[in-house]
Amino acid sequence: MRSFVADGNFKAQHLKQKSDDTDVWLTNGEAFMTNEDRYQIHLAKAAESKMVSMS
Amino acid sequence: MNCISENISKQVQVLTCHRHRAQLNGEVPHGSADVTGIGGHSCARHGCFAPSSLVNFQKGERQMNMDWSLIEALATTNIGALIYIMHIYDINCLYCMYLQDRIDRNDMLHIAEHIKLIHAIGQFHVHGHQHKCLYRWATHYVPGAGVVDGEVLETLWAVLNTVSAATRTASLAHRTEILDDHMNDSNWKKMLHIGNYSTVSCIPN
Repeated sequence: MRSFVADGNFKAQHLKQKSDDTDVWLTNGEAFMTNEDRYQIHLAKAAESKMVSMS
Repeated sequence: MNCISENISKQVQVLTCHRHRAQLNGEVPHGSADVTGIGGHSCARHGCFAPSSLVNFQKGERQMNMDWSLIEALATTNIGALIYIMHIYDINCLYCMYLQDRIDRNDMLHIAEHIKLIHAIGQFHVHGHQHKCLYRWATHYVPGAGVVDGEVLETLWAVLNTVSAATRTASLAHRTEILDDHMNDSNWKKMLHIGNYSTVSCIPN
């Protein structure tokens, strides 16, 4: 059986930069980080469900 | 069934387990950071990062982030005609509940129809859950799972953390290049040296 592990990592933060609009992108989803354009479209459409407790 | 369909339409999910940190921080934005962390998928047996599956978090570990990561991981790892795919995640008892619903609602998420996901929780994180979760979700109790702990990404993060600190103030493009490079290096070294740890090479001559 093919198995995958999913996990998050909160050490890999990134702080807002003043010059982000002049950034030069060499890759967009060709390696391990995902394709940012399609990802942002997905995030705009996705709705997060609100968690309510049972009691 | 009525209460379930009502809740789906309201986008409300009832907490059936503890409030885990990953769930708790889901909606908390971060003032000075535009990326609060990364999430991704890797092979549970060999610990190789799945291509195109590493996503940035904007507000903590939200389900929509991991949904995208899962779909990308399934799309880029030669699943082919494989039917049963095991998916091990820290908070799967809550995450997998409306996964199919979230995929159906969003036309950006595609999953091959023949794929049947088998959900499980890693051997470390499952002990942070309610007691019933151990028997429902621990990989030891999943038929066909083999012997996997489902925590291999933690060991990969530990290596990646030594470099990700340096990317906090890099530009987003540069950060992506560095992280890509180091994850590629991790996979490459794993491929080169995996023979040293195979069963055959462990047998003394």
